[in-house]
Amino acid sequence: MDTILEVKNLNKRFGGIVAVDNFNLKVGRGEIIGLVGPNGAGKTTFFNLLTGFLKPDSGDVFLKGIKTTKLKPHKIANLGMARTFQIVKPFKGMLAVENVAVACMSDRVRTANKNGDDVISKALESLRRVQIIPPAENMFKLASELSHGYSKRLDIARALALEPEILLLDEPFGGLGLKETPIMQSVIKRLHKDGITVIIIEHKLRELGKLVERLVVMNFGEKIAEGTPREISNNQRVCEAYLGKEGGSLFA
Amino acid sequence: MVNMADYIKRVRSPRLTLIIILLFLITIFPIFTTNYYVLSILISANVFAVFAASWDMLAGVTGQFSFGQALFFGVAAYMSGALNLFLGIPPLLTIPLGGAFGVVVGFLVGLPSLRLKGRFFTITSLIFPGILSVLIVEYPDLLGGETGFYGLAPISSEIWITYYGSVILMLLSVFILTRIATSNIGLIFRSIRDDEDAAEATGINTTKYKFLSFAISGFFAGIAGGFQAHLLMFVGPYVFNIFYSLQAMTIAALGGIGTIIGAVGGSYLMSILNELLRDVVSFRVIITAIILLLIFRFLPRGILRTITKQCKVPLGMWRGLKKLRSKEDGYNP
Repeated sequence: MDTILEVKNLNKRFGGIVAVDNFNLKVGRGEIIGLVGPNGAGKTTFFNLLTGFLKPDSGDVFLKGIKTTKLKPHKIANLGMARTFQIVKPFKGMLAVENVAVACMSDRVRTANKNGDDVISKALESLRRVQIIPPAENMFKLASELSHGYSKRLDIARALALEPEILLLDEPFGGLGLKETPIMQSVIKRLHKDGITVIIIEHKLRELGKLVERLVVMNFGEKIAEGTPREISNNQRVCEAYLGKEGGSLFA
Repeated sequence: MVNMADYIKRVRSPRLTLIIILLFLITIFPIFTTNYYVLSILISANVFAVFAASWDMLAGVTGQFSFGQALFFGVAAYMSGALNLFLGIPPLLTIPLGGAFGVVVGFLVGLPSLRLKGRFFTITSLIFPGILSVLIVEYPDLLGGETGFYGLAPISSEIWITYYGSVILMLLSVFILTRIATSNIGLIFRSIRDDEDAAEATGINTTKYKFLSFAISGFFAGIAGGFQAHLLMFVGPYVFNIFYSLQAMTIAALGGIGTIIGAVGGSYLMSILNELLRDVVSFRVIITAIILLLIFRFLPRGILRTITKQCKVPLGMWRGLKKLRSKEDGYNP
């Protein structure tokens, strides 16, 4: 399989704390991967290292074979890696449609659309893909007026407008209600079907188990296990990391 | 099916009629009176409208909440003054040259400031005008000292010509700034204001666009400064006074931060206020500060936006939405 993302011996420390410890990962084009682990395992730090918001102490990240370790976040985004944030970061004072339109102003989208495909229809298409519209009035709402579920998807819509090849989702199910969770699941499934490589950080293993093909488990910055959801659920080390030595079922 | 026209109407305020009426009044004003006193108040209001709008571009639209807008204003005022006084260049040229110098200063100040975010940037921005005013007083031979440069050429010997000059300056500046703020670049500026990290993650080179905003803001603050210098035929270290930065902020806040055009209304209101406070000049800074506080506390959206309640987004929106309206009939979500 064509490798889209490769992480080699990635290390990051914050003072005495090892946030990411000698991490290796290969992601094939079109894969959908879950990155799980207890709180403080270093998952979000790992995302920040991938997207250039943090610089690693050592190790390298290759995106489509290009070394991105020292690049600025916007450069990496323009190479085709988009992300969302654990705590949603909408442009609060702007309308939903404007939020997404910003991504259409990035170098990546502008050079791809030399024929001048208009920004609006691209933004609307992106909003439609994450089911923010319909209803159409949502696009004229200020981002701060949208409910949490919509905000989560607005973050994704904005990332999607970048036309990414790889999408990093940081806890897409965090704080979602019973109605919103299946919508989010179907949205993500759809993106995967469209050929986008997806990496998801998530705590809710049950939701994740249904979505992903491969799970990577982190604890204290280290990769402690990797495999299909079924394999992971039977992995002794993972159960210990999550539930303590007594054991139990992860997907219960 | 959603009625698109309703939505557009809700987010765009129908301010055009109002603007045209005001424009008309401003234009014909000298017919009613050529009173020197009245006209000079209005001229000053126009200059400060440009100055406040330039601050609004940087702070209200791009979110770089600077306390030191007087820096651009002052440096350009000095530049225009020196060019006129020593090289004999006429005001018509020195004013835009002052603006160009404002751009240079914008870049220079932007360099160290852009690495700072939020309140740290705000505090740092306060320092630069202070440094310059100290330098000027310390090196009187080179920079004019406390007496400054005087005897600059006036804009015009006729007050009504000066008046129309200021009107043209104000209209052009506000028009250009509004165009920028509602353009795609303005969209990017606003995204940086709302969340810099998210903008960066969306593939926007935030450093580049912040520089751009500094340059634009510096230019318009600069031409306001140059105009002011020629208007008073004098420039001294007073131009770096915090009072000027505070004025720009108060005016923009009165009109509504992030609206650009609000600066015009705010400036006229402020001029009236300043005239009322003429007898208590020493309290003016305090009173201005109190007004600023009260506005931020009770009318954070500014007076203009509070009056036109239906306008929920500043600037009457991003221009891209007009395209949406033109496609409205074929729109089917």
